[in-house]
Amino acid sequence: MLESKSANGLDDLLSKGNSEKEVDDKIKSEVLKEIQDFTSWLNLEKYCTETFQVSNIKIEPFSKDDWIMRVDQIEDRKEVFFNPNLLKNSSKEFFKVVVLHEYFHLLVQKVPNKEDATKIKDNFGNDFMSLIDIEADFYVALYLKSEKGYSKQKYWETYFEGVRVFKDDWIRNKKFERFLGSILTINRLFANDGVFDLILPSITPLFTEDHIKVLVLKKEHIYFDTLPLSLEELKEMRGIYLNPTDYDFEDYYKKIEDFTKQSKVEVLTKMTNLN
Amino acid sequence: MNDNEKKEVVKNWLERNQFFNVETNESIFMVADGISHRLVVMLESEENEHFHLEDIKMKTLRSGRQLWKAHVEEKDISWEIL
Repeated sequence: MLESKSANGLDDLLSKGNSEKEVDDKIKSEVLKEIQDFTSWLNLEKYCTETFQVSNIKIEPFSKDDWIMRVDQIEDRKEVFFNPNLLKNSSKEFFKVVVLHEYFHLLVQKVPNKEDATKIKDNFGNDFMSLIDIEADFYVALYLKSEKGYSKQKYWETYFEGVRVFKDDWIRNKKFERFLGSILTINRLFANDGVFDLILPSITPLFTEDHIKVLVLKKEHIYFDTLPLSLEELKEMRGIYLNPTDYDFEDYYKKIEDFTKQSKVEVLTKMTNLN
Repeated sequence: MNDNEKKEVVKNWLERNQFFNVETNESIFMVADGISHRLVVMLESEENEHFHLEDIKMKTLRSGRQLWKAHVEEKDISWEIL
C-alpha cells in the first residue's frame, strides 16, 4: 500500500515536467497576464500604440521543436504561438522574460519570426539584428524595473535561472558582443532613471588596444565612444558566457558587476538624460 | 513537526540556494531545478521507512535528476545524497 502510494506521488511529480502535454493552466494564465500587463504599459507610456488580442495568443503543448515564438496569419487576423519547451530547462520567471522579449519583436519591432531575423541579417547585417535584440532586452528590463520592482540583482538572477537554455559551445563573436551589449545597456538602465541608451560594443579593438568601441544609440542621436576594458576583463566574461553552469549565482553576478564597473558605463556623463 | 511543515522548510532552503521550479504534491517528494542539476527531494519521514529505495533511485535516475534525502529538524536540514 505504502509502496504504491510513494510510487504514484513520485511518478506524478516526475511526469508533470517531462510529458508531451499541455502546459499547466496556472502557468498559461500567468504568462498571458504578463503579456497583457506589458502591452498596457507599452501603450500607457506611449512606446507603441498597437495591441494584440489575448484570445489570439496561444501557449502550445510542449514541443521539442527549436522555436520560441511563431506567428501565423489566419484569414484576416494573426495568431501568435509560444513554445513552452523552455520551461523544462529554466524557471517560470525566465520563461516569462523570454516571452516578453519575443513579444516585443512582434508588437513593436515587427520582427516576429526567425525568417524575419534572417532577412534583417541579410539586408542590414548581424550588428543591426544585435541592436534589435538589445532594444527588446532594454524595454523588457525597463518594464520589470518600473512596473515589477525588479532590482538589478533580481534581473540577473532571473536571467541566470535560464542560462542553460541559450548556452553556446563556442564563442560566436556577434552573439558574444550582443551578450556584452545587453549587460552594459541593462546595467546602465538600472543605475539611472530616465535613460534610453542602447549600447552596441565591438570587441575587435581589444586585439591591438586596451579598450572596446561602442556605438551608443540615444533617443536624440547616435554616437561613438570608447570603454576602458582590457582583454583580461573580456576573458572573465568569456568564462561566464561559455560555461555559466560552472558558477554559482554570486560568482556569476560578481563577474557582471566587475565588468560593468570597469567599463564605467553606469556613470558615463556623455550620455545625456532624457528628462 | 508534520510533513507539510518540513516541506516548507525544505522549499525555503531550496529557493535560498538558487533552486527554482520547486514543486510537490501530497507525497513526501519534491522536485526542484538548479542551474547545473535537477533534484528529487525525499523527506525523511516515518512513511518512507517502508519504501523500496532502489525503485525510487531508479525512477529518479531515469528522469535525469539526483535524489537527495532531507532530514528536517526545526529549521535545520541535514542532507544525504543517495
